[in-house]
Amino acid sequence: MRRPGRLIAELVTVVVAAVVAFPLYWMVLTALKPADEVISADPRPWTLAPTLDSFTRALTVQSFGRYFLNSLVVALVVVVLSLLMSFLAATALTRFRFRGRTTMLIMLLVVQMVPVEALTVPLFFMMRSVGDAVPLFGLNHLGSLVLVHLAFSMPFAIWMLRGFVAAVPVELEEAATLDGASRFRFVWQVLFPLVAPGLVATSVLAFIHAWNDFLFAKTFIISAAENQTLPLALQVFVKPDQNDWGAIMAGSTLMTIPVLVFFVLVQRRLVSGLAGAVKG
Amino acid sequence: MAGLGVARAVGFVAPALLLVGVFLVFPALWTLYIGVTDYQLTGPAAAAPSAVGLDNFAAVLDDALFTNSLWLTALFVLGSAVVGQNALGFALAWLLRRVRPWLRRTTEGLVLLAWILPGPVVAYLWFAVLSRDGGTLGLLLDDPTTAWLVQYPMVSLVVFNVWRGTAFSMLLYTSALAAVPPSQLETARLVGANGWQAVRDVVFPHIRGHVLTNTLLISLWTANDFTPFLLTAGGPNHESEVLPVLIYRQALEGGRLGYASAMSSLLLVGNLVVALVYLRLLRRRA
Repeated sequence: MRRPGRLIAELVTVVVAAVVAFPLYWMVLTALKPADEVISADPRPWTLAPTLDSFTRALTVQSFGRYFLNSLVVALVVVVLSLLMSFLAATALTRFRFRGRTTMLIMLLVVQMVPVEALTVPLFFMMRSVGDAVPLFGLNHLGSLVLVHLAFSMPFAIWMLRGFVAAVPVELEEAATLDGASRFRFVWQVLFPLVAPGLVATSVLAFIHAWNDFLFAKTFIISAAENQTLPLALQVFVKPDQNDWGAIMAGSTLMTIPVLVFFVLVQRRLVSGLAGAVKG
Repeated sequence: MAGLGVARAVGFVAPALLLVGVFLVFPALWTLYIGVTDYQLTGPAAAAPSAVGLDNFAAVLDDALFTNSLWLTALFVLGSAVVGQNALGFALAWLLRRVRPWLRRTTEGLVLLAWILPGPVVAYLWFAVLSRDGGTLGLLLDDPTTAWLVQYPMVSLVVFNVWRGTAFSMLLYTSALAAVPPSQLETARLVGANGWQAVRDVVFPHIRGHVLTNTLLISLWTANDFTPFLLTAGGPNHESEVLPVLIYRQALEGGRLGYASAMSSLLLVGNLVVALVYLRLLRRRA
């Protein structure tokens, strides 16, 4: 490697990293600033008097904690169910040969192209009907969000896991069968652990998808304030006359933390998992 | 093992397919159906919608708001995805190969973070950066009177989307570049090719397929992205009303469900055409 080339590359990288990081830094900074510094006409890029006042406001006003819990419940239920279902589906679509398999795979690819906004209206009516039969999964209930996010996370999860399942040698399966292991036992005790890295990457994406959703939460949860999720809770601090930026940024920071935790735990696997999924 | 346990295979696939069928495929077909009715959110046509054939489609294609929106969407996709994310993603992947590991991981992490953070959170962040009277950018440039989101809404959206979405292109090109034989790059260097020539003549032929995949995926994601609603809500005066925002506003603010569904159908068909062209191209390569 030529040294000057490397130096230029590193300088450019530092600049890009700084630009990308700036809004994130500003979020945390604003959340920690005392109120008068937030609205100051001459804001400094640091603060000498960090305070948790904004966090207190965000947490106490309008039952932020309740919304946080709602978001967490929806996201976690989606993650667990989507892992289970997409793993089984990916196994079947990779390891079994049956008629219609290719059609199913192409369908799973094509439905990923469907614009989400186009489905809000019919889904709204469907959820209203579902609610008449099973209130828990209808409008104004968290179940409606679980159902929709589960369905929307499925196609990509299956595509991603397919690559991981395919990478497990068939010989292993034959050996397990020769040793007398049943098909189910092979799937759970051999395949499942080997596919674990793919499951991790898949679960992160499903979590983020459900956690970040704004559109469906806004469309489905209309009149039940107690079942609202976090993205909408942030809107409380947006006021026509004077936005409470301290509280908005504190709320945003709190909302970011679960994503960050998930992300830090699995960054490497996410990178290799995504790269593998796209190649395969 | 082929053909063994068909019943079990079907049992494995059934739950996932059922969900996808009921909550994705069925509503998509329903959208096509609502598009040919005069369905409204409220009023008499809400109780008893009647079929109006292709009237909605004719009206949509004749609607200046739709034409405007189509143009803005094209601008948004071209500026932020096809050019912005593609170029920046490749540049990052290219640069990061020769950067020391901790710097590479940090940069990768930050770029990925911008991608996975909640849409509402990043929207507020950018709103704070770009707004007038106290917006961070205005203060940094000592220009507090420019309301970026109002005066340059599309430019703001493009920059925002490049910031937000480059991670995917970066990841994809990183894995693509890893597959380029180092010996060929070495040869190019020995014969005196500069960086740009090496990219064009050695790297590009290897990653053509990845460029295709990447461009199509990010284009579709960008065309369907709803986040612009959180930043500008289509305003001011429809100047940043990309298709997803227009559809949402027509349906849930205007209550014109039939009309909005006709627009959705057009977007849906457009997406499917792009997807099929893509599958065809991929198959030809393979």
